Amino acid sequence: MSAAQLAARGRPDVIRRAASIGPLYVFCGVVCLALIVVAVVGPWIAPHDPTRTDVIEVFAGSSPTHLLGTDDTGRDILSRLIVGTRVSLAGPALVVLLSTVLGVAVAVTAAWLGGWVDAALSRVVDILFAFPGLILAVVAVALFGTGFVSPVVALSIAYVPVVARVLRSAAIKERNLPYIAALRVQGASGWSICFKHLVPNLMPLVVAQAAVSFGYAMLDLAAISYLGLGIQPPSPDWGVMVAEGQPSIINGYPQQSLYAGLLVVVAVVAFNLVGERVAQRFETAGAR
Amino acid sequence: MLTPAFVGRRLLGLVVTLLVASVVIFGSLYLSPGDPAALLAGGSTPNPEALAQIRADFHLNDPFWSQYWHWLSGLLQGDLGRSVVFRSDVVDLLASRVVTSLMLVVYAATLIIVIGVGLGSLAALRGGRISTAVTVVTTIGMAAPTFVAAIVFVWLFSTQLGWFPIYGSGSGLVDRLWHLTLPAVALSLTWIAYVSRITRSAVSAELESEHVVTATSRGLPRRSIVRHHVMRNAAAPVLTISGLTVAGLFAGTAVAEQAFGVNGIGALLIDCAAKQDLAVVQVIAMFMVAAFVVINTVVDVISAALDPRLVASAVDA
Repeated sequence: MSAAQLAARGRPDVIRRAASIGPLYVFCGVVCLALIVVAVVGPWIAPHDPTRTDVIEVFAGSSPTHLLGTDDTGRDILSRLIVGTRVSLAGPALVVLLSTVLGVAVAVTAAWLGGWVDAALSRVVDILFAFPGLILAVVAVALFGTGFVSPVVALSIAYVPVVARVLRSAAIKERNLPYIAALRVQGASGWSICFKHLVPNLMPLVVAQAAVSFGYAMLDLAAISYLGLGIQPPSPDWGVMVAEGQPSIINGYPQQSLYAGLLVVVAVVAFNLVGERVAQRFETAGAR
Repeated sequence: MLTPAFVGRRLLGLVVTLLVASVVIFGSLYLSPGDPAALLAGGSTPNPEALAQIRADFHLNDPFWSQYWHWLSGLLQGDLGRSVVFRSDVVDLLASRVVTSLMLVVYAATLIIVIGVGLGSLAALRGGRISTAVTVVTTIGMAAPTFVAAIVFVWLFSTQLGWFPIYGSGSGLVDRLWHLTLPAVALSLTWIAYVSRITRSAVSAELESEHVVTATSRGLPRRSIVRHHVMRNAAAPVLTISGLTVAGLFAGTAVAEQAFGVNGIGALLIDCAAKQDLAVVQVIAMFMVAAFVVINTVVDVISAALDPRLVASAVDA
């Protein structure tokens, strides 16, 4: 037993648990929680109106009124980052939700029905793998226009094959377990077995997959916003802010791009580390 | 052994995937609500004569499969169609840009393979402090998405250092490479880190394997063990991962080119998507998907040649 573990004994349960998880993960967890809180209450805690321009206070440096300074039109950078948190987290959350639901549906259908259905679905999944998420998103934007919805839907579809492939093999293993056969003998329908038993038993793996995907989805969506294909200005979004600030860098005002870029990196790293940790936990729980 | 049957199956899979992908990309035209002719006009509202012209140019009055066949056979013969938005043949739009993008991809791929494999092997073979240093560097690299790396570079090199140009494509071979340096580095950072991690674990695993321990105990020189027993065996997984990475680089050019104002097909793709110029988007998307699938197939076959066990497992599956 290490010194840290010894020291952790006798402390309240929360602290002991935190110590056993490791300070890095605790820190990342706190960052994630803080971001989620800001995403919810952002518009109320922002010190300024994120879209109000001010011709006099252009490119202001850090000051008590503008903690992170202002951008090329005098808008408060901190307020824009705070208000932009909601859309920057909601996008990846939706991608994870949609791709997980679709992926579970594909995986369970393929595993349960087997035969030609399985073969056909597996082939579709293989072919979807050939489409990088960014390409699907770009095609979607070309068809339906820029904005929040097209890239989110396109990325969700692009993430389905990853979810489906992992869950399909797990679902096949689960389907071959004796308890499923027992339920069938008792006359349970395929639907009820799938929904009441198969899917709930796959949940640990589903959560693990979702947790890991979140950071990647966030990165992809931020890149799409940066390219100008996602949320449109003047709505504050981290990716958009990085792009909007870029022309000013050469004039010696890198604040906006750097702060927004840094925030993307910090958020992605925090969610990734926490996600991987959650995944480890749930995968061992799933393996029993 | 690398049997003709294995290569044949891979080639067949390649062709089937490309055909289905082409149907999806071409058919996407009909996914959106509204008149395809108006869509091809790029969001603007042209007069009825112009719409009729577009319908005739794109054979929109023909049955779907006939349109598709026309499009695909055109692609294969180098007739890539016409951009209504740019009022130009797609071939002319792509011609000069493809070379720039290919240079960028090759540049980034070289950096990824040389530095990634180099760092990974170094960390595994030397261990100790070098290994720790590589861990730190790769952790930072993994967290650096292309567009954030790009703005950091623009900041550093425009106002602080000024060693590299931060905008444009340049002219002439040397000047072009010079202009592509920052985009290539920004594009490859994450993947250098990724490849070096995979390399490190592959090489470490081989170093601990029984046949290497046996070879060491028999007193074979370390240099020859590393070359013949460690690197040779670690090559297959490293090659697979590097290949996958390089195959994905084409899609990544969009961000790198846009960030540094490089005039390549990635930047064109983004520009055309924003202007809803579907004819060009379809061609570039098809090209990028094809590049991805072809490189993957080539890597699969080379890996199988390096490690015959992969063929056996592929046949079992």
